Amino acid sequence: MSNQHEHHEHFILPVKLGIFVWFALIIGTIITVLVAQVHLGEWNFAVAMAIATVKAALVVTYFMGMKYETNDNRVIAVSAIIFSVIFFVLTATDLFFRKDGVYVQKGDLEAWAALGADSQTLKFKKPWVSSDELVAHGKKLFDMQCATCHGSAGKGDGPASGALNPKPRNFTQASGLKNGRKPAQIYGTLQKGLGTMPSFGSLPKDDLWALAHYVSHFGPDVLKDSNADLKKVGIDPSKEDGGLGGAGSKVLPIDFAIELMSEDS
Amino acid sequence: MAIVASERKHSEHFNSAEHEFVSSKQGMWLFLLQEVLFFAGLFVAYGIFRALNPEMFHAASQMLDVKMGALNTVVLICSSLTMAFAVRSAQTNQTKKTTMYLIVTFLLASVFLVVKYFEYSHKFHVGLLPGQYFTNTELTDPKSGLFFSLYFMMTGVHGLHIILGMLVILWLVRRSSRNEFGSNYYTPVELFGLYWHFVDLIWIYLFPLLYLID
Amino acid sequence: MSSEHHGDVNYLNHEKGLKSWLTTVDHKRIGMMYLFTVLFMFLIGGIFALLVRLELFSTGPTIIDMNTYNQYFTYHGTIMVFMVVIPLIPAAIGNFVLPIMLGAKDVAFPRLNLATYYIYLVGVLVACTTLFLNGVDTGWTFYTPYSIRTSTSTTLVILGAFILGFSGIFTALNFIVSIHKLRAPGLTWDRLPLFVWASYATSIVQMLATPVLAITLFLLIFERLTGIGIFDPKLGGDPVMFQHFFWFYSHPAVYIMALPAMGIVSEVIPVHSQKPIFGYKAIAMATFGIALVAFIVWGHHMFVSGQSELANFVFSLLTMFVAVPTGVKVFSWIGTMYKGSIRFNAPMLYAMAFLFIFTIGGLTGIFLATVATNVHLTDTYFVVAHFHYVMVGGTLMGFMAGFHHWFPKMFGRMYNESAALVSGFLVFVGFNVTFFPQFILGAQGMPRRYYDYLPEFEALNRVSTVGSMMIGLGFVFSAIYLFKAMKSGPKASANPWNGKSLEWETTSPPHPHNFHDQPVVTHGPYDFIEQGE
Repeated sequence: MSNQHEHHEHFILPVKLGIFVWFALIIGTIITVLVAQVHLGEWNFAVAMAIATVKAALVVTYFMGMKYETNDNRVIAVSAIIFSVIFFVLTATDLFFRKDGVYVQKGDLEAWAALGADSQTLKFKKPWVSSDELVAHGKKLFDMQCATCHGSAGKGDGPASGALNPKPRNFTQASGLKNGRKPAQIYGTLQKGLGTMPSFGSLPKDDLWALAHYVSHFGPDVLKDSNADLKKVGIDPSKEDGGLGGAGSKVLPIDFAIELMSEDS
Repeated sequence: MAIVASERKHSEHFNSAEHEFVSSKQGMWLFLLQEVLFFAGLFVAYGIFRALNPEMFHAASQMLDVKMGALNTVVLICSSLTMAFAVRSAQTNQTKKTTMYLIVTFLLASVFLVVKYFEYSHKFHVGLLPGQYFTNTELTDPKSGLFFSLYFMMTGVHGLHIILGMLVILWLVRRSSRNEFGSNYYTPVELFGLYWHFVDLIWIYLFPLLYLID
Repeated sequence: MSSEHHGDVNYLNHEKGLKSWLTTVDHKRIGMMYLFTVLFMFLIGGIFALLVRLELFSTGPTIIDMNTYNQYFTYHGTIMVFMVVIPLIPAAIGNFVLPIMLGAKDVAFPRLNLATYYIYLVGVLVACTTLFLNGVDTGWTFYTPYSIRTSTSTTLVILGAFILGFSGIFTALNFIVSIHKLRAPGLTWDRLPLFVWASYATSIVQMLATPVLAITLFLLIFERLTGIGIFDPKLGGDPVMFQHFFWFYSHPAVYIMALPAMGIVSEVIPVHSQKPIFGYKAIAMATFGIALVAFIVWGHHMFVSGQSELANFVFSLLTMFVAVPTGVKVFSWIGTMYKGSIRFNAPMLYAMAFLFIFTIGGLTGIFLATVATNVHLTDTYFVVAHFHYVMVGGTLMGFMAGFHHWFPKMFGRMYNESAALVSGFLVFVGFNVTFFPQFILGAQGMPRRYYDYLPEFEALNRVSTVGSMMIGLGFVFSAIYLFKAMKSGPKASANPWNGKSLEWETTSPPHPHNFHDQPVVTHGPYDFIEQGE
């Protein structure tokens, strides 16, 4: 900026222009108040902001002399507005888009606590016995969790299968599953993982059973588990809960969490 | 001590008085830039809470006195005009007028504060207080205190700017009455003018946002 | 300063006495005052760090109790972030070097410049008085709602941080106007040294972001004093909104720390490779790219705060853009060194340490910017290691590079090169020994800010503590040889490194008015004669 020596004519606000701007601002104020008395619904806000912005523009342009300012100073003024807008918009992406009901509330904790610390809240009773409901639930989970590699028809041709070596198994063949095609055997594979396939043991037990039943449907015929098969994967079919309850799962100490939350709110 | 305007020298790290003037002015614009972002925090909080609680904001805003708010808007607009004329008369070497306009601006700012005082004391009286001190029974929404938190923070921070501005006006009046300003040197008056118009500008938005929610 | 009189007048000896320092408006003296104050605060913050690391040497209580531990890590963070790393380069080195690089006599508003120093001092004193009151235990982030309720003297620390912010804002204002208006004749935009570009971008970020911190802390103070409830869920407010407000400042603050360090590296590497900088325009533009991106990524600090899924997605995506301009810079620096005649002296080695450490810091940021892995790593030592690699490894290594680079200019004397190499080695190795194990600890799940940890983490924690002692030792050693050099080092010439930017054209130490005659710039800042093919 070597124009340091140049002499700019400074802008001097003419009296008439000053009074005109002042008059326009007063009129703007009166209009704002009047419009607010009329019910225009959401338009009220838009109109009020539009008038305020026109007024602000008049003040900035003439009283503050922005019309005669250097470009540097214009950039400064404009960036003040741009960054305030960024501030608002990105904060709003959070606060305006939070989903109701996805957060754990105190009531949820109490309801869970009432079930007892050890109860895994299973959605299905005796999930090791196949049912249409379980298979339907299994399909949903399969499409979500497994189809990427295994393909939605279970042929081992999912979109990600190209990147895998060895290729995912083709469940539609009788020899398709390495550990056997019985649901309990599939359940065991899901829990432990196999080769490149990771373990899915972190899913709830009934979800795993639902998946096992669904996968077994891909085969040429659907096999049934014997009691011995079930025992191998830790299920005691003589018991109502199959011995699943409290299967070593670590649960948040709920009383403590509730105490914390009620102290905090 | 008094420096006659035409004799005033520029600081030695600038090439000329003009160079010093444009640099100072840019400094002032940058200062206003940070003021905008400072107020932006309040406006963002306002925008978020209003969008999330439209009914509560509508009901709470009815408790504010539109007449008082409108009066204050007019008062501030007038003070902006007198401030602009104070700058103008300094630029045109009418030193006496500069002092006079500065004093009028000061008086208008005082009127603004007096009106604000009556508004505040009324709110205090009927329990329209921020957050945990909110005790008004007319408003039923339990979050109503939030509106008054925003009301008091926004108008309070704005009022603080008015008060600080008035202190600067007193300093300018003192210098102006000593003939320190004139067409060759009026940087402080001009820069303060920018600040004062900015304070007016904030109020231009605060008025419809707080008083006129339909 | 020095007892012997050299005959020539410089900014250190032209006036004497404490009063001449406390009332000076000379940017060089103000820079020196900042330098020593900030380094003193660095010592205090460092002592807290060592105490925290000592406590973590073994499982169970080691040297302090839990509440004291909470306060110590809070003071470590607050002091280091607000009082050391943010002002370190702009206020200390920037104040000294920037006006000289511009060929100006001073910054645009010298009295305002002095005022920022006192604002800084007041902020420091207000915040540090709480050391003798109840202390503060919120962590440096002051997250609500805990920071509203905790009964310790948090209000004063928040007030201190509020005041410190204005010191930064006014320094930034001064720099921007100086760069716009006070460049020497011939110093066009494409001849500006890259440190000036970096300071310029930093100042812009500081001007835009710091006021938001100010209003946030202002609201938080009122939250504590009068219960306004804007951030208080009990009164209908939103505590996560505090995090948005806080990180709107504090994320760009990371770039307020990193950009000046990058600027220093852009000076040190070409001068000590004696080669023109590779990609001058690319680096200058990347600096602005980083400054802009800084403002649109803050939500990545909040992936597990309960913010909306949309916000998680948007912020994760935007964060990835940080990598682009940063990559441009790193490759340009390496391109500059390629086939240069590199001097392996202290400034250059610190700059290389910066490259090494900052790159690791940046790459580990990718794990944290990805929502899926972030959920696992949030609030573990992985995060601690990551931001120390960025902030300490970036800013502090950059500072040490710049301090050694301009030391002869500042004091007119040379330091002992071999002493510098020994302590630089200690700091670099100590840093990696301290913080690399923390990546592993974090990935294994050791949470940050906890007083105690599981026994299986003990071995790596011990390694980390030993490393922190090495860093401490390195800095103590640095302090000794640098103080010795200030008093009795051999005299330095005006241009000991054969640099081409303006600060090397004046005497060492510079004249009170920087230059005897107004300099006129006729060449770029990196016009070194290319080495033969």
